[in-house]
Amino acid sequence: MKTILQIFVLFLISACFLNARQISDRLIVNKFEESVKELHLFTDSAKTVQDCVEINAMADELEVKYKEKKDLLDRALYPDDFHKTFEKLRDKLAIRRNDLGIIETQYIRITELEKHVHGLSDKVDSLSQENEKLMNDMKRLSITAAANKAHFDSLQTVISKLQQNLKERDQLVFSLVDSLFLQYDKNISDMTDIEKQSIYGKLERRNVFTGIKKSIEDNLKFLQSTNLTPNDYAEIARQNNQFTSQWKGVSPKLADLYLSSKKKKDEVARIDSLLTVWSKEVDRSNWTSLDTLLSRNGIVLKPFSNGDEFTSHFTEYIDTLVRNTNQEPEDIRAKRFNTFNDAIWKSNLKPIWLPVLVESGKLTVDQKNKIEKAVDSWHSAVTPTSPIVYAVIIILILTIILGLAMRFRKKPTAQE
Amino acid sequence: MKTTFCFLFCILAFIIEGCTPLTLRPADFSWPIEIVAAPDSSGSIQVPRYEIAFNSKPLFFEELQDSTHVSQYTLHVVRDQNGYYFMTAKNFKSVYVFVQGEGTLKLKKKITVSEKGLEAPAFNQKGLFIQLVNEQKENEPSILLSNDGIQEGEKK
Repeated sequence: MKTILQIFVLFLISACFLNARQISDRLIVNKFEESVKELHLFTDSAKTVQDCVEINAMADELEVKYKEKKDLLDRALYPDDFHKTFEKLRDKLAIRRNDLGIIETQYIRITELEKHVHGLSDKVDSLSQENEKLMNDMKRLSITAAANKAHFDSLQTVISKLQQNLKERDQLVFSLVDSLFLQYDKNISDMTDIEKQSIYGKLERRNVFTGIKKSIEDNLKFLQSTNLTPNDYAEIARQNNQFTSQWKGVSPKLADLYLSSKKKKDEVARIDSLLTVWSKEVDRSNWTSLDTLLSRNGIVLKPFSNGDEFTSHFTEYIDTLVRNTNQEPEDIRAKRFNTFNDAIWKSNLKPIWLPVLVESGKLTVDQKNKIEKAVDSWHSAVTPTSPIVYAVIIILILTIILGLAMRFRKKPTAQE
Repeated sequence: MKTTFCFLFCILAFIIEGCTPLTLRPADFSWPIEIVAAPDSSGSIQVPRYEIAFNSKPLFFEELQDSTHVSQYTLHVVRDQNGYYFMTAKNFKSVYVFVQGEGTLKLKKKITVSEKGLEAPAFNQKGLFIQLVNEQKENEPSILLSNDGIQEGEKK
């Protein structure tokens, strides 16, 4: 019986640990104890409210990290258990806070910001993982989408979700940086070396540089993938513009912070250059996508790769059409305009592309107005004059003739 | 006749019960995690948490034929639920199972677990068994041991 029981237990253990990594329990306990010891040392050397907040956050993280090993730690730690270990650490931190004379409200505010940072950091990580999966889905579906309607629909859903996620993560990364700097409530130039080191450490721990780089790289990957619609490109251009302006807000702070660190200064420069690559790629994709949109609907312009060229070639194209109005039958001209109006102008170019191009600085407002004016003139040139207009003109002429006739009749002669 | 038989049976039961030593069960002697300790120059190993001390020289001599440089080694020791002590160290080819005696630890079983010698051994408690893992190779299959020998896994 005992043997059967042993075999059963053995089977259960085998099943449970078949795929589990074979880590030494002692190693886990040792690592935990070392981390706790380190936090005690940090507590002893804490000098500012930020230090205390940070240690508290680190203790929280440690507790979460080892929660699943609580049973092992409860048995292995001696004389304290898992819970008691953290209780002691937090008590020590509270004493340290009192010793430093930290105002409680300030501590609470910074603790909340730190929690916010922690939450944002977690969200960034989970979004990064989700995006990775969506990217793979997108690649997989792109191959089969052309032949399969269901796959095409799935692909559109994936693209839309991925685009939303990329946007959200970009926002989160910058919110994270903002919240980190907010904790210090002062300019980098006014910070002490300890404060700079502390924020430097936090940026490192939250992988801010990696996060920003990853955001740009993922956006680039997304852009380089196939099957994006003009709307997607327009949204990407908007996103690129927003990211660039947010980075411009953050990069001077980071550059100030890393004045003495060549490695980090290089990181800032690397992000700058990545962002330039992304912006150029967005620019190129934008004009290519716009060209495709026009040519697919029969509007073939001379090649263009910037706002000036686009405005010039577009208005030139329309001017030519307007000038040639007499050479084509009216119905053909009207049909061409209506196709342009329905498939391009009203649905894409005017409501989506032009605002985005202006917003991202690729077109000026004057250029936008010029394009709109050109389209209006084309519209006027192809619109036949309404019968009502003729009727009004005839009525006007008749009224004038009648008026004149009556005037001449009423004039009395000298004999009368 | 039947009454006499019952009477005798009861007396016999009382006698047997009286002769059996008092047993407390269940009892669990397991240590939650292994102890890694380096012997001093005399080979003595002290485990303050469990308040045991023993001379490890004969063990090192048995395995490595070296009892002069024992302080250079670290011994991994763990105790299972039944109270057996499992011991091994880096470069050992075997795990030694000891049982507690009067002021002694007596070898109960020598389990050969490796042809070349263990690279970075570590013991884990796994219920009724002791798991032997390689600390440096997390993906290497572990060996489950009991005081009778290898229960699951293969020699390295």
